[in-house]
Amino acid sequence: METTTSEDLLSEIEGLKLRLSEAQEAIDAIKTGSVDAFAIRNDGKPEVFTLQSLDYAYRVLIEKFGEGALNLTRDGLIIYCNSYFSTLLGMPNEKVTGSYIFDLITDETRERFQEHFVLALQGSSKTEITLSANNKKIPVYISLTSLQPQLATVGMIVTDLSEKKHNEQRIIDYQHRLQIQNKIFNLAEEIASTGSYEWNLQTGELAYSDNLFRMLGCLPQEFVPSTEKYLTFIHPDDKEQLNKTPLQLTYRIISKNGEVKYFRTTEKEIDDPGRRMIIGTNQDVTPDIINTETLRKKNIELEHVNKSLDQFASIASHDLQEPLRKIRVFTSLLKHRFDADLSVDTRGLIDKINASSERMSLLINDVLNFSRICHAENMFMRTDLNQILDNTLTDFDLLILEKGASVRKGNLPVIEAIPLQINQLFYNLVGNALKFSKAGTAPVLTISSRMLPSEEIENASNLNGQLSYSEISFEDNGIGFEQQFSEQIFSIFERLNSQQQYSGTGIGLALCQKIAGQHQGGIRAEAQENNGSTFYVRLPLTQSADRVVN
Amino acid sequence: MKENMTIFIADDDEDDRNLFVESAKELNKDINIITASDGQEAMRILKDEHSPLPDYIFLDLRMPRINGRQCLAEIKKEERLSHIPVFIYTTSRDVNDSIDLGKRGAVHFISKPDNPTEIYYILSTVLDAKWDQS
Amino acid sequence: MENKPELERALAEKIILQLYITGMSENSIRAIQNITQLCEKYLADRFDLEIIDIYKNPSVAEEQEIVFSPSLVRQLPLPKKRFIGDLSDTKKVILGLGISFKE
Repeated sequence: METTTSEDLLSEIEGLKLRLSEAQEAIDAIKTGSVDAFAIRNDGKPEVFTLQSLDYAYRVLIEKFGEGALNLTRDGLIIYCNSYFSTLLGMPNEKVTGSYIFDLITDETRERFQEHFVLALQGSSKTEITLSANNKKIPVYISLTSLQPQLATVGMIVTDLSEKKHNEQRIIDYQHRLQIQNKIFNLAEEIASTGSYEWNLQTGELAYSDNLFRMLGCLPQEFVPSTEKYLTFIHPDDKEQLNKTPLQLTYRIISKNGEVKYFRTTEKEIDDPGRRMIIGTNQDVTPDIINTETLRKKNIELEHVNKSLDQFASIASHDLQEPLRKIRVFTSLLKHRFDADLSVDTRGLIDKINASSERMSLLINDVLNFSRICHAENMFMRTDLNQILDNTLTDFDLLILEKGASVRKGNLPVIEAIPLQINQLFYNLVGNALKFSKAGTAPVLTISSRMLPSEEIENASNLNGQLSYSEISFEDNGIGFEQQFSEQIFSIFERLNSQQQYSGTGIGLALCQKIAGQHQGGIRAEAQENNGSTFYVRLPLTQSADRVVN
Repeated sequence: MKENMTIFIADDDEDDRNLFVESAKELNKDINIITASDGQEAMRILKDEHSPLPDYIFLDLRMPRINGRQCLAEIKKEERLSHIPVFIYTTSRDVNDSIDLGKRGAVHFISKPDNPTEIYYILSTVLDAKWDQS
Repeated sequence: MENKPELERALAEKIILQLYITGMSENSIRAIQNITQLCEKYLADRFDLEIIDIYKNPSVAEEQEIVFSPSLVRQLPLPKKRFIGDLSDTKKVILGLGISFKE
């Protein structure tokens, strides 16, 4: 038989043409880059070959990954790593490639890595380690995979945990701070005797702070908080009050152990979307209430005591004066009736008796006045100091005449004061000026005033910085005194001269100081031995707001 | 001076009473003086219709049982006594007392003098003057 | 062409297609897009498309000596036909597969 016909040949040619055209097509496709790869049968084993373009795509993927990617040999040599990884380590890529992965791991985690690397040589493994480079420690999560059979390497994907770790640390820090805050809060509640609560209006949940439980006489979290339970602590007499919507309320509770306490509750509503709550604090104000009560009672007591003292002082002084009067009456009588029979000596003795009783009388009066200054009802009113001075000088009319004294008056201000007390003040100062005159010299008394500049007010420790002051000076040309005694003389019963030299009780100047003090002012003296003295009285023009002014 | 003048004094202090009586007698030995040592006794005597109506009444302020102020009030209420000039004779030197008692009807306020001889002069002035009760 | 009688037959049967790709390339993506569009437009439900990743299945080379990616192979109806590339030349593909234009 013939093996090939022309038909067969034609058919074969067609077949060849087809195959040629296909091959040509393939070559064209390769040339134009329309194909990326091909699979081919090689010695019965199929293999895939990748052309340039495709390889590029993979490279781009690995490089642009948001994770680290490495290719490691079985010995751990890094034959490839992507830029993410080298950037993570802070090292140039060229340095990383070619180094051993073990050198880039911290001592603490190296052993773990080695264990997992060994596992990965057979398959795959995942673990957490810490990388170390440039003194940086980088916590990472790694995934190791053997790339067998295609490659005799291990691929490693690296996920940076720094952020995660950082966040974890932040959470721990926050938790720690929260703990501390809670401790402080609990302590603050204890110190302030406050207990607080939170009432979620949506869920109906009620929560009490530990201290609220304690304030109720219970152990923290001893019972489940509820409004009904709270009501059982309220004092029966005060239960009504709580029906009003309390925003701030004071009422009594009876604690678990029977103590009656005063609670002041303050509440606030929180109305955020999704969160409707009432938060409140209960403050144990028992000490305050008790103190206020105690204070009030003590004040009433004090008023009573003062009243009694006042009465006592009046009566006592009167009763004390009586016998003195008798002494004076009868010594007078003695002298009068037995005038002819009395020797000069006897008369002298009788005079001494008289003088003593008179002095005693004065003393009693002065002491009475002095005590009155302390707790008299202090009605301040508009007081013309010029008028007070004139009245005082009138009182001393006779003495001024007798001593041939001259008085120079300056213009004195009008101030808010207690007229009677100012009267006494002026009386004492003028009296002293006249009394302590130099023998043989006519007393000259100069009274003037000036406004105190603010620096002087500020520098003076006894003056009220909020008020304006006038300084009235009483200057005399009398016997004066040594400046070193200038403060002493204002002490009660202090005298610089003996009774024989100059009469007086020693109370006068103490009284002056007390009066000045009553008016929020002060008094001081300047003098020289045998060269006159000046007394400076500082009085405010107006009294401070808390004083009663008529 | 009126003949057979009667003056009444109420004072709890014996010495003061005696000095007063002495001085009054010195002024006019025929003066009739009625004394009482406390307010209660004073009112008993004054209200007694049998005792002579005094021409002048002197009252101490501080007396036990009923004090001078109260006596003054009672005297002013008594129709029989209300026209009699009442003098307050006291140790008090309080101006306020003087004003107050003046308002209550006392015609004069006399502070007991230290010098007993002054009582004489006071009385002579007081008893001689005409006291208008209106 | 000798396709005419087959064409008639083909119109009555489903066309079995295999698209060979690698998952990672633009060409492959384009090929997938193009063939699916084409099938939806011109073949409605008269086709069966299998997409094969030659990386995952290198064994496809056993039958065919060489398999390119991307490439489209019509298994049925016979004869097999092969198109290499991303199939963006729609006309060529349609003509080659023997699908009539239905505008």
